[in-house]
Amino acid sequence: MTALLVADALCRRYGSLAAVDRIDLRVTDGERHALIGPNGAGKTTLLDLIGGATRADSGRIRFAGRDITRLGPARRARLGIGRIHQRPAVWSSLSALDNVVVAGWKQAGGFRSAWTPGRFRSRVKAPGAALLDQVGLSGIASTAAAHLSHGQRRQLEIAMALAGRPRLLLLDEPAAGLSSVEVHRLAELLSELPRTVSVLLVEHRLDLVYALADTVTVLHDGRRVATGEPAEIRTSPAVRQAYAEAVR
Amino acid sequence: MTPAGADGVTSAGADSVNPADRRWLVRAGAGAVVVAGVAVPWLVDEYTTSIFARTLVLGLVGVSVALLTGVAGLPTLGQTGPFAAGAYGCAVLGMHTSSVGVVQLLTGAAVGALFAALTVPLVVYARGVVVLMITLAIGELTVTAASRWRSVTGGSDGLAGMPAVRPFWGMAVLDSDRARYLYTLVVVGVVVCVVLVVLRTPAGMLLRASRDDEGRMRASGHPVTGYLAMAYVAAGAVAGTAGSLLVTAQQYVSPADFGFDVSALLLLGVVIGGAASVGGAIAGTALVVAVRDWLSGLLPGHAPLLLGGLFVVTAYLFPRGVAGLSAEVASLLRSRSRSRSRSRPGSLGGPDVSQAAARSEVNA
Repeated sequence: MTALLVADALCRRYGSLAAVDRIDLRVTDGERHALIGPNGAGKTTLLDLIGGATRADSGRIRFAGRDITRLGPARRARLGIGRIHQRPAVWSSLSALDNVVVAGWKQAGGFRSAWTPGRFRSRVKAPGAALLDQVGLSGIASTAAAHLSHGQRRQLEIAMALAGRPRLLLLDEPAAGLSSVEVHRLAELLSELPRTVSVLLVEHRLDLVYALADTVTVLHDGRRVATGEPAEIRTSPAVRQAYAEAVR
Repeated sequence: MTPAGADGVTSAGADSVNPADRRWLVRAGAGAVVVAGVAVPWLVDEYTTSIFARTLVLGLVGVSVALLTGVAGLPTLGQTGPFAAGAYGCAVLGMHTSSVGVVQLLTGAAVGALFAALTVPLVVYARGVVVLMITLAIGELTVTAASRWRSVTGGSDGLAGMPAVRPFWGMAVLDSDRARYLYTLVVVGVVVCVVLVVLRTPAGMLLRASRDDEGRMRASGHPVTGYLAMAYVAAGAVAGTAGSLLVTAQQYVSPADFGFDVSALLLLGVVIGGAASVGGAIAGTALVVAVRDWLSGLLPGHAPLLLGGLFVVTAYLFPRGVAGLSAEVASLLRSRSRSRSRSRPGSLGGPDVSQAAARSEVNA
């Protein structure tokens, strides 16, 4: 398996706090890679560094064979890095369908695909509607996103991230705040993702992590403690020590 | 304001409940406004007609303010900058080169857009209150430049004596206040329709999304700064067009037309109008100008007091501005007709939903 994402010695400090401290990470093509660790371990900061929302103080990031360390978030998104935020980020004044349309705008060809209403429908709207259907939101396509429940916004943001046709999907605690039914649906949705999409998942719900992930990386205080298969991580004494309360 | 405006307003809010009553209300309102607008010069005297023309011009600048403040999320006090640039550009052109209205309008738009293009790096990297401060500075510097650059602008004496405008080659010159008013009305109507149509295309959607959540836009690969820059230049072109109309309407231009009081008035009018609504921007600006110029006749010297009072009253009674009015009236009618006035939040017809209607409506 070739490496899709390679992060070398990434650092990010906030004042005297090293939120991410020389972390190396590899995500291979099609891999489901989970990041776990107690609160404040640097998981979200690491996702921000990879997505480009925050710049690294030092270290390098390569994505699909290309150095993206200095690229902004929009460029990285166009290269194929999709993102789901811990608090679902949607455009509240737009309808659910329009959210997906705008999210997939660049990949659908932008204004070139919107010159005529027919083209716009077939190239932009129809794929958006199909994605909404895939996440189970086709019934509320015309509802303004401001009026969706937390769980629906989460589903919507997943559809939005998929509309960008990502090669790597960064998921920041997708199960946070969801009911058990919604978590079940989320797990189904994630397990159905094609293997052309790699996933980097930050999640506190370890049942979800162990069900989905091929590889688990444990972070603690901004450092990488261990990387391995779920079974190894579950039993590793080093991990237990660093992360005692979270590994059951 | 116009039938197209009414359409834009209703269809954007159509995803929410009962678009039918609101569409009816907005259509009727827009029709009445257009009829009244055309009838004005036959109903009032010449002087009042010329004031109406100037109010329309300010309304158009208000549209450019609403475009930036409400739709793109860049609150501005500086649209007097491109407004002034367009006006002086057009006045100089009118005195030396061409008295054809179309040429003057296009020149005004081009100069306004150029002004915006030159100041765009100052504005689009900032957000929120910082934008307000920067645009305030841009507006003030423009006025200072206009009063100092005597050879071009005539300094604080201003420029007067432009030959009368003919709208198009071969047409008669606009030699009465009525003709100038109708010319202004037509041009404002056309520009407003163009703005509304553009806002209904995906371009408008991208701007609204950038305002809602910029980080998410970037995470979806959108060059947000580029979009904002384009919106800023387009708003500059609209304000520049208004500048050209100002010169035609009052046949005189001086730095006093672009002072801080004008910027503040415009922002006030746009906020009262509902921030993101194009029709509301014109209505709000007109209301503010009317309060300042007419109502203050009842209490001479207390125009600022009246404006302050107006602002407080609208903020309390219509938190969504004049543009939210149709939604409010519609929801009132609905709750009366269904006698289920104590609707639960979130239920159909509840305050929640009518708010959604207003919110999506103001984006039209």
